[in-house]
Amino acid sequence: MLAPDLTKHLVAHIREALAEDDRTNLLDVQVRIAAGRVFLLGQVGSNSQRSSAEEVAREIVPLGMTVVNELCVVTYSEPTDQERIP
Amino acid sequence: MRAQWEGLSERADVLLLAGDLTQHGLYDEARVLAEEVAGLGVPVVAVLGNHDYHKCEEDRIRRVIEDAGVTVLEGESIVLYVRGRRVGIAGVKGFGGGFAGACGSEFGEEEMKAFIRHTKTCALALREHLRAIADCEVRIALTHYAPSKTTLVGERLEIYAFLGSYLLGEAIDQVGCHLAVHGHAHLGTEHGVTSGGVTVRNVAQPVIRHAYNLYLVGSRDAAEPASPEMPVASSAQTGG
Repeated sequence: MLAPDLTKHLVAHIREALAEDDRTNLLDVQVRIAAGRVFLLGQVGSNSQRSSAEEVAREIVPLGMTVVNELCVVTYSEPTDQERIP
Repeated sequence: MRAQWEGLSERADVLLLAGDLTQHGLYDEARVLAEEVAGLGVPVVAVLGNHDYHKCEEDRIRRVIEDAGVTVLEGESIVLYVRGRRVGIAGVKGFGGGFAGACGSEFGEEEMKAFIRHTKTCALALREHLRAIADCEVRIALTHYAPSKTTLVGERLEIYAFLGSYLLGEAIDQVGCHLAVHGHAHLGTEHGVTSGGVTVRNVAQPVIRHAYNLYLVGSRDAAEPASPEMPVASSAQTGG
């Protein structure tokens, strides 16, 4: 397992790749590392984004570490309420 | 989004889009959006977001959605006539820089000066165009970046300076308006207020958890005879 400080660098590089890679351009994915596993957390808008995020992350993580894709695909419905703003 | 927007004309008078009309900043994504918003039956007013600039295709993105009838504001304003009232919307993408006590200055390296200079330019344009709509019965400021840190609660403090600027909030407070709408801060909070007391709403979809939200803005007094009122619908689609 990587030393804790290097693990933090890895988190930063994975997030950087998810933001900059044209397959993803995702800035909201949360990345956590625990017990040699890289967890992708948060919400994305499609199955395609979810799988692309995993693909990009796998290209970054060192051999021996696994990527656990816990991203949720969400779709948004119409609101039922409205707010009155004076 | 087309399915969620069906019937919008029966629920709202105006649709505001607070930026990030695309995920990857591609013209082809904007073309899809243009097809989705065409014929919605309500005026659509938008600002671009940071994602829309990523591939330097912002001019083509703007043109294709304007061709679909969307009004894109970048340091501009528009007055709509809605149910006998003048609704003014001043819009600009805005930029980062941070908030009082933790913000950047136009000092040092050229890159840093350019960063803050861009924010100042955006804030100045917002102020000028809020003044241009000052005589409207309903006035709205539309930005992508946040004008207040109160709608950033939930985001990490370390990135507040990349999410908005007090300069936008100051511009809003100097002129005043009924509502300031923004996107960009996906982990933030919907409800906020500027230092001067203007209502702020963060309409990033992960925040509002809906395709859009409905705000009934500048409501008439109950005693005032009124035609039926309908809200403005607001959302910021993707991004961060």
